[in-house]
Amino acid sequence: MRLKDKVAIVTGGAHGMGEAEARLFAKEGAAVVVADVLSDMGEAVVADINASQGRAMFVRADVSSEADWHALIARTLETYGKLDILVNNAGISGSAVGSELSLEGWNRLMAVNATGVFLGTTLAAQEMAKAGKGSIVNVSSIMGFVGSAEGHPGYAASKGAVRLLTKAAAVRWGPQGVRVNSVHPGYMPAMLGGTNAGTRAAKIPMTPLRRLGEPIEVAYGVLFLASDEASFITGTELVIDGGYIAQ
Amino acid sequence: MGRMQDRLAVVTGAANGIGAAIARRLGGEGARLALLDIDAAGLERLAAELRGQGIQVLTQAGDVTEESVVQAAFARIAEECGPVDVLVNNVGGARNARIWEMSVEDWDFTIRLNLRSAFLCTRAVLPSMMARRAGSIVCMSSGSRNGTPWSAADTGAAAYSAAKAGIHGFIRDVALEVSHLGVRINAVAPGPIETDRTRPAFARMEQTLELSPNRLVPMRRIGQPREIADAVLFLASDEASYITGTTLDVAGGR
Repeated sequence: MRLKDKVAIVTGGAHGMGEAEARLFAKEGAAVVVADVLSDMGEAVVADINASQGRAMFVRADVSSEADWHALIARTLETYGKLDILVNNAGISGSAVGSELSLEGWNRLMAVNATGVFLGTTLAAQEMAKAGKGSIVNVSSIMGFVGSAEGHPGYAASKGAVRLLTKAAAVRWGPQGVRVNSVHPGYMPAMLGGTNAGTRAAKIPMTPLRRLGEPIEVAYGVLFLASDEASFITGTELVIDGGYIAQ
Repeated sequence: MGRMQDRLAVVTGAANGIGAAIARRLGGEGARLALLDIDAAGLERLAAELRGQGIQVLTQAGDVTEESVVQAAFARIAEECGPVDVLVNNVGGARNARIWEMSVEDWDFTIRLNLRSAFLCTRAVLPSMMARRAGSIVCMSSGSRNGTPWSAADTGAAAYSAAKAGIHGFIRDVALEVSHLGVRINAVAPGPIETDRTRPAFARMEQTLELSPNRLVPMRRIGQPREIADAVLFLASDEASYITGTTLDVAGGR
């Protein structure tokens, strides 16, 4: 098992990519804290992991709230005694914030996708630095590299912020043994509250591998970066996009 | 069940250093191996070690910058081992010099060793991969594709950086050519890695340079070949099934 005896927090772990990451981490031996605003779905994922010989706990947390972050990390340390891995997976889509050019949409995207990752990275890195080791994986997007005419432009801005926040944190915390990397998924099947399936289908011919990705394909990349196999990898991007941004 | 169970993996430059670590890692995960290197004795030493662990190994000594050598090697591999699932274009190296003093011979040597080898081996393996709509190719770029401050301060390494930037461009374009045919191609970009070849230079730089790699790299150390092999294993495996056309840095943050 590749995460034996590790303790991991996965934000946005109630569904989609976060759920796939939580389940894979548990299968690889980690105790997993599933954090999400969606309590019922998060509790269901946790119950399922615990019923299949895994170890997991649900904590309700809004990643844009500093108080929720303090409580989430405290609960994790209280229950499992340490924190080895943080996956900042929670995020909202640029098609989920109403008007595509609104300031409210911008503020909401930045609060969840950028500020949420800043809070988690900063608080977790301080905890990990005490132990002299740890791995943080921030889920950005191909929109952290390229723009898109669809959805709110704040989405790309927030994902670009994640990409460079990751590098800054990697340089800052590297000497203390904390690794920080970003993952950049391409087009996945429509997520909860995201764009509809029809829009997604249009992305297939534009993707070199000629298909959408699956959440498990992102989860394997996150697992690799979280694990000790990535012990010399920090401050960099893992692109999982079927070749989309190679174009 | 290993993560490479029964896959046939070809590794170039396999006799020493990072290539040997890649062979050990893939073999340890159940791959059958075809190993190429110009160092015949080194190749046989490694093959003996791997066979001792029950790993199937074919060895082929030769210079993979020569078209005829590559064609013959891949024909033999196909005949004796069957179709190739994974190609690791690992062979590389450099003759460093100050750019204003660098001979054309040294420039050509470095470009040829890093780029021509990757081109020839990729070309040799692709038809069977495309026909089976399966296969994963991993090339070796380098952190130096963005420049290498310690090498620039030490001996000069512009030809090497140019070649490794070339690998990055190569894998992006080849990915676009072959993705719809079911073949993936990516690169790993190692930072400073400790091998028998690099150890003396890193030791010298630690004495002579303020910003030696172990001081400049955010993780404050030189990497180990095994850490590159882990990344190659990941990209070569089915776990990376949606990853193509990308270069993954394994460089301690530099």
